[in-house]
Amino acid sequence: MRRIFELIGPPLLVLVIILGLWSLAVRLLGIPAFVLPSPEQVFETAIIESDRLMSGFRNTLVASTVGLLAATVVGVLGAIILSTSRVLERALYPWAVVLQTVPVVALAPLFVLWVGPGFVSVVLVAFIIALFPILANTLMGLVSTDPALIDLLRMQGAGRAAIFRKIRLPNSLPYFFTGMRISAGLAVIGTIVGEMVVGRGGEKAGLGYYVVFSATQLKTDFVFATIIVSTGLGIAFFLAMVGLSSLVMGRWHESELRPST
Amino acid sequence: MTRPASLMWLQLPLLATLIVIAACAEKPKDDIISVQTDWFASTDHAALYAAELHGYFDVRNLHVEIRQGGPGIRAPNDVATGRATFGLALPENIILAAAEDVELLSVFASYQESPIGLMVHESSGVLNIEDIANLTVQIFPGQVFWEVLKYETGIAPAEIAFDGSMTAWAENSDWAVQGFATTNPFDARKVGAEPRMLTATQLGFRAYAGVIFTSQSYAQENQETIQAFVAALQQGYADFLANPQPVIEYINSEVNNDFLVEVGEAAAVIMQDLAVSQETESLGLGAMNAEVWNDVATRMFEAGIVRNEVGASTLWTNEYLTSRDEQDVQ
Repeated sequence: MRRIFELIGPPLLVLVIILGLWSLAVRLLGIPAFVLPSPEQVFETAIIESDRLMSGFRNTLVASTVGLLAATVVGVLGAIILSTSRVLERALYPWAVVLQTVPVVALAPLFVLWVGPGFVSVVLVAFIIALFPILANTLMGLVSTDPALIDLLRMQGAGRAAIFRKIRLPNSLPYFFTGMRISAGLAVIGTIVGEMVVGRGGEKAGLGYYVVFSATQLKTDFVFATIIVSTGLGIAFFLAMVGLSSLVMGRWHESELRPST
Repeated sequence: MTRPASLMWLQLPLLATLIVIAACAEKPKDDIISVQTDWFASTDHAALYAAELHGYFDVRNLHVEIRQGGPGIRAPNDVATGRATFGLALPENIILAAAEDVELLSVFASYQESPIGLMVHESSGVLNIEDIANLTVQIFPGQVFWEVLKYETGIAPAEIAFDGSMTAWAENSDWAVQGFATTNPFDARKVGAEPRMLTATQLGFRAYAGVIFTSQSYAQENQETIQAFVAALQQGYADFLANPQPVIEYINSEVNNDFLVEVGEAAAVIMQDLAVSQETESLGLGAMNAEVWNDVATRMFEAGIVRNEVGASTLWTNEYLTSRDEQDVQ
């Protein structure tokens, strides 16, 4: 209980102070609602627009999850392939870097041409943004194993598959989960960016679509409500990765073990 | 986990900074009249650039700075926060702002009928709003005329966020795309498409467009300046409609090289019809009437776009206009 309070207490206190200051500043400085609505107004709007926010949340959640899963599968497989050969790594890794630096928003209209608008294009944006951290971190984990351990297994007659399973794979897990923590947030950001540029409207509209929708109609309170829900989704994704990391490595890796004070 | 959590305290000064930034909006210099347009310079802003080119601001001792708009620029916000003296936008935005307690006053309408609408392929055979129901519509999310028409007709076609590019529309004959009748059909023909433009008016939503507005507070204290500014706009716009070529070339060569002369020439032909009406004949270019404003405001309320009904009568005025007869006398 005490640990939970220590974990949640300080950020919760900061949140309360921020909301208080925010509300006070809006009132005292007379800031117009369309520039900065008060937190109470944002909350009220979130209630009024709850149907749209919920359906947007669902659509963004699905697209983010699919984008992150695709990035995980491709990132891990890619890292395994690159780790098997220095030549392959030298040939392909720079292109992974290029993929990361391509302005994906500029690519989005091309996705519409190639695969059509809506879900698939949005997922593609999320996938491209989320891929690199998983690929780069997992690759780093796979190749940075202790050579002495590998030699030890080789002396005992272990083959490449056994070395991979017993040394490289466990060693790469902390790196993999570091990549996943970064990519989880990025997948949500990618989805929202995709929805803003190539997303579908109506029932299939995601949170990104509603950000543009509400900004077009000068409804700053709705923009804030959408941003807060989007941020919540990003945090939920991050925490899910923290939980998964703890589940998988909690019993054996030092990064997940609690200090025995 | 404890180390990142302690960084949360950084959010306090960050929030304070954001609040200060929001509160301390950049104000225009007192002697400069800044005008924030809604998009990159084109003939849709012809009244402004014609007045600038022909020196109609200068002769009235007005130091006018025209700022080009673009994606994400919202002129009502800039005028309301004092970052610009005047703005140019759709009248729907003035009503949306009023619904958020932002008091703006429209003083000049560049278009009597909005050139905004939906562009379809000629081959689609689409002629009216009901036909659109079977298409995929690529439109900027939240576009008011579209939300109102959807509500009133009950149609619910598939929608995609408009990314500013016509390329995907050109490749799909069963798509409609948001566009401006003045410029986009020309662009579409250049990429080999055969477009049919259905303006918002043709689809059933008549509104003004290219409305130039200021804040109510500025209007109360600067009557003479607004009078002179609007007179310059009227004079410039009349010159443009009579002889558009110099203004088109000026925009292309001095303001926005991406705005092609041939696009401007095509737009100028269409503008001859959209810029004038019975009101402008009697009251002068830029005139508006209560019927159109009230209709737009009422329909926006009925469609649920604004939560409270906005009284449109205080959002516009013709009092700064000079009729043709008065101009002749002057």
